Amino acid sequence: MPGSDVPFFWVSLFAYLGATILYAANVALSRRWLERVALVTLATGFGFHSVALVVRTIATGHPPFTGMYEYASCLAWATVLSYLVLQLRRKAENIGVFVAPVAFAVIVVASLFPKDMESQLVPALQSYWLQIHVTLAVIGEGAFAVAFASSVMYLFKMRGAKWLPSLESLDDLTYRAIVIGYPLFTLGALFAGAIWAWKAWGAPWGWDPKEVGSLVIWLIYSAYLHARITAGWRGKRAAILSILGFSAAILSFLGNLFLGGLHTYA
Amino acid sequence: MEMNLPQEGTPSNEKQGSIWMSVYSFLSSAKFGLFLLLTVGCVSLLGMFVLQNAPQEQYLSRYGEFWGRFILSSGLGSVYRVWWYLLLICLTCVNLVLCSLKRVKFSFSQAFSRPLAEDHGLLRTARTAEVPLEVSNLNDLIGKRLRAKGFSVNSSEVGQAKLTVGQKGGVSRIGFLVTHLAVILVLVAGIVNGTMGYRIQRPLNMGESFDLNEIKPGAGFSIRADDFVIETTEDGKIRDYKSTLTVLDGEREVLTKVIEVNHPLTYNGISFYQASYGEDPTKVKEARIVFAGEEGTRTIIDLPFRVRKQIPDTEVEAEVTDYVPHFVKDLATGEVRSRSLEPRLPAIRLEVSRGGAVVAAGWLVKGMDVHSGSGELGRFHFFDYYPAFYTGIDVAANPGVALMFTGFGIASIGIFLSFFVPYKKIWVKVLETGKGRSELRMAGVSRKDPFTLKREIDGLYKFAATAETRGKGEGSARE
Repeated sequence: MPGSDVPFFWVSLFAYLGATILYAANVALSRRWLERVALVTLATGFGFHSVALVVRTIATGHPPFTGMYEYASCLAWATVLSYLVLQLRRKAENIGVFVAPVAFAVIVVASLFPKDMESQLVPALQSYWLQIHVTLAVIGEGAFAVAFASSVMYLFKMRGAKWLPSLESLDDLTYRAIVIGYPLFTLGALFAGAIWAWKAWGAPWGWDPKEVGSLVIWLIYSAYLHARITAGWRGKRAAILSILGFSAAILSFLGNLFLGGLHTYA
Repeated sequence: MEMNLPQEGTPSNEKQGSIWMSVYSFLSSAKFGLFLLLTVGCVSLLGMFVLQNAPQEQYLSRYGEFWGRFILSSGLGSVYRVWWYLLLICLTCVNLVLCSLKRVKFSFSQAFSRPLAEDHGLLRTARTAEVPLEVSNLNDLIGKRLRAKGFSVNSSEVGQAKLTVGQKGGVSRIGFLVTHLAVILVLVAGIVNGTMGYRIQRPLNMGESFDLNEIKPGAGFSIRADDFVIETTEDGKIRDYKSTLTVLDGEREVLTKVIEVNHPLTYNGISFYQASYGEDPTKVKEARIVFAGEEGTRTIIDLPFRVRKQIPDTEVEAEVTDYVPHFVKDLATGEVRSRSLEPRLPAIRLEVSRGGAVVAAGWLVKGMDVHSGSGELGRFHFFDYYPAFYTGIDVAANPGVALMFTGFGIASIGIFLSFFVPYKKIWVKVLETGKGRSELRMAGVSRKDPFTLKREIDGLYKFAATAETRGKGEGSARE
């Protein structure tokens, strides 16, 4: 009898909650060690979360990319992953105070969906394109979630929140997160998605709600990059575009609940 | 420390006040491009929420009289085909082409020409360092150091100053052009698919053929469904379903392939996809009958459709002659028909014969001990059946797909160049401040990685500070 991922999942959920509280406490008390403990808590949660995903993969025999619970869980995981990578690659200003609650919110959304394991994939999903398409798309969206967090912080900072990192570094972090997310999302969600749709459904593009959702997300982030580079949009307007982009991603995800279409598995 | 793309230049042949030039600069402007990206995004988003391609009545009942009529008349009800959406896409294409053409020369020269050694404005505010070396010595050292680090280097002399410039990753400057080209290819491919491609659903019963000339005159072949199987897991879940299809050129069998979801058959540019399946509403494959013997024995027998079969150890023969999935009988006329195509109340018509002569005939409803006949029919019970499946095949042609995937490949290259090849430029100015002494200034730009560039420039300053011995020695730089 394969083990269940759910206990590990709950540990990671509470670890993300703990990290959120610790980061908030650090804002109030301004203790360096609190920030470190928060980061360690977040990383520990990430470790448990990784174990949860691996356990589920082994138990079901396929990567946890189908169903709302699995996708939302992966998105929370990818958000923390993107954040840790950005944080480790360069000692950037700590934006954990906003990333941790975003990851926590996403994992809470995941926890609301049924967690039953389904080892038999529907025929349409029995393809190696599942791994390529979803892995790239979810990590791309995880990076967009980090960009979203730093953009929200940017707006707070503009309103005078002194405890936040400088506007310039927040703007830079948003840009760097989108620079990671955009290529992955383009290749994974759009290109791999179109190739797979052609192989499975007979048309690379069919105006399915999820396809349109991905197009909208891509257009918004394309606008962000163009606005920044050619029209010199920085700061507030760029931050708003980044927030809109991630909101479109959330809408596209939750759209499964009421829009229907061919993509109802996640 | 981020460098912008070349700002929109003014074409040299522009005449002030020319209306065409105004139109040109508007259509090719980055701001118009930005407006189009966001507008197409918003309209597409609307299409996700507004009912698409539904009958008129549905709009009126769902959205009310006013909004229903508004959605219908504005085209929001089939937004991805309405003329103004297509116009927006066309304008995006035009903007993309003009915008790219405007920058092509500048970007190519940045990517492939030797960089210009100039007294860049950033040098004015750059940090200065005093180095006890001759100007040309120091300049050579820095130049060699830059070359060793993979920079393409150029030098010049302006007055008493020696200027050097190093550039790395110049090819990333054409990344956006490559991506733009790819986006245009993908859009063109989409138009080709939309106008010349097709996709139709075609259910095929076993043994049935479909002549492709019906949808594509001159296709010259037909396709026949030979078999259909559903594979299930031990707990009865569907694992897969597959059809065996044979391509026929007239009577000749050209090839046979088992298709399943994700594994279509393609022949002469037309693809056949396993899309669905269902029960044939006109027949069953086999009906499972329970026959009550004279001594109270019960015999289970599977009767193939329209095949007369003898019940073992008896002289009785039985044949399933008809099938309806949803049994209903008109009491006035006695006519039996099907209320729907769904197997909600399956029934078979059974003929019972002895010695070749039919002795009883009537309808049996599955799972019920009722029948519409007389005599020997009462000894038969319709217990279950194995359906005759039809296979749901989608026949599709996407003539633009090769172009589209080429576009994806080119876009991937463009994205790689733009996002993963760091572009850096470092300007160096060396000025004589006394005999054997020079002043060094350095500045640089990097679009992706200003922090690394800063480290690199700091490293160069350090290198210059310790270069005295090397400079006086062989005059060469070593790592």
